[in-house]
Amino acid sequence: MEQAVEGLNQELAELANGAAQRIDCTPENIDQGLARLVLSLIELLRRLLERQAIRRMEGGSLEDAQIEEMGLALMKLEQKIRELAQQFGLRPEDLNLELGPLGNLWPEDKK
Amino acid sequence: MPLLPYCVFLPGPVDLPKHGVANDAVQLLEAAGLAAIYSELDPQTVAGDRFQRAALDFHDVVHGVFAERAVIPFRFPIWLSADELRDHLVKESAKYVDFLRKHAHNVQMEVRLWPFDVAQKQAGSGIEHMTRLMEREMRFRSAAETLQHAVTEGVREWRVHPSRDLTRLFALVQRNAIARFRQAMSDAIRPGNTRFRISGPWPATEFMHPANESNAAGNVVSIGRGEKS
Repeated sequence: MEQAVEGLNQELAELANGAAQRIDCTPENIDQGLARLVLSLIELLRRLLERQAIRRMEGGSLEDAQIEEMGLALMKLEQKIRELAQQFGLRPEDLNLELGPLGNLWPEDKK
Repeated sequence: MPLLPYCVFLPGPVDLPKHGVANDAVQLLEAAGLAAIYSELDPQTVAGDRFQRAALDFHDVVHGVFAERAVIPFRFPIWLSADELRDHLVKESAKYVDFLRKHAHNVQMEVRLWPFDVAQKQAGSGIEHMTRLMEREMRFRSAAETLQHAVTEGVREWRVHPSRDLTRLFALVQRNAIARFRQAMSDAIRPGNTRFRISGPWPATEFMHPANESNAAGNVVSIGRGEKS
């Protein structure tokens, strides 16, 4: 029972926190707002490319050299996105934009 | 004053919550064989610091009705006029009525599955990075399959949404089988190197669409002012 209550509380907190995730562009934080928007789109593309790369690896349609090249590119891109996000005071989860009626940019990773 | 719709359900006797978001009255609208509840509010009422409190109040109202019957929740917050809400019910009537009848006694339980966080050094090559990702995905897939096979008690259907760091499994469960489902989950052998957390019951909206169509909005029905035609 305690576990159920704890689970519900966590869900409620997530609901409330998730709902508050919006791009906030005011004259004071325009840099951060724009960085968030741009980095979110790049992160979305990175995720799509990563999934596609895994599919192609599983399908055996990639040479080792191609896997190496793609892996390095994805790894560096991920690192760079994190660095830039940090510079703008953004957490990784801040990049998963809340799109109002459409939901989030990608499926949430909250555990 | 715009309406903040909470959820849709089949008309019939139900104890409606007396107060909704911002302590406003919860009102009922019936059209096209469906019932919807809403509050009439100024959108500023849920703006800024009040947003989180309002989201929780909204959730309470939806779950108040869901405790008694199947519902289709609206995403929070959606603002509509009375005509737009009525038009939406008319337009979606066949789909909603069919769903609410079919799942009158079903709920969905969600299982979130993720790997133990094992600190790993950064991959030394592109191949190593990609191989790790592939192995991680295979481990997830295998863990999700293990759980699905282990827990069949009261489950009518499973849906799986994988992502890199978290796999979400949705089980369609009969209302009277929720306790048995939880028990079966806690008895299930934990798939290796993974953890999971169960939540629910939730409205069974993950099962509103065919299995091959993803529902980006999650546990809610999303409509907006742009979707009137």
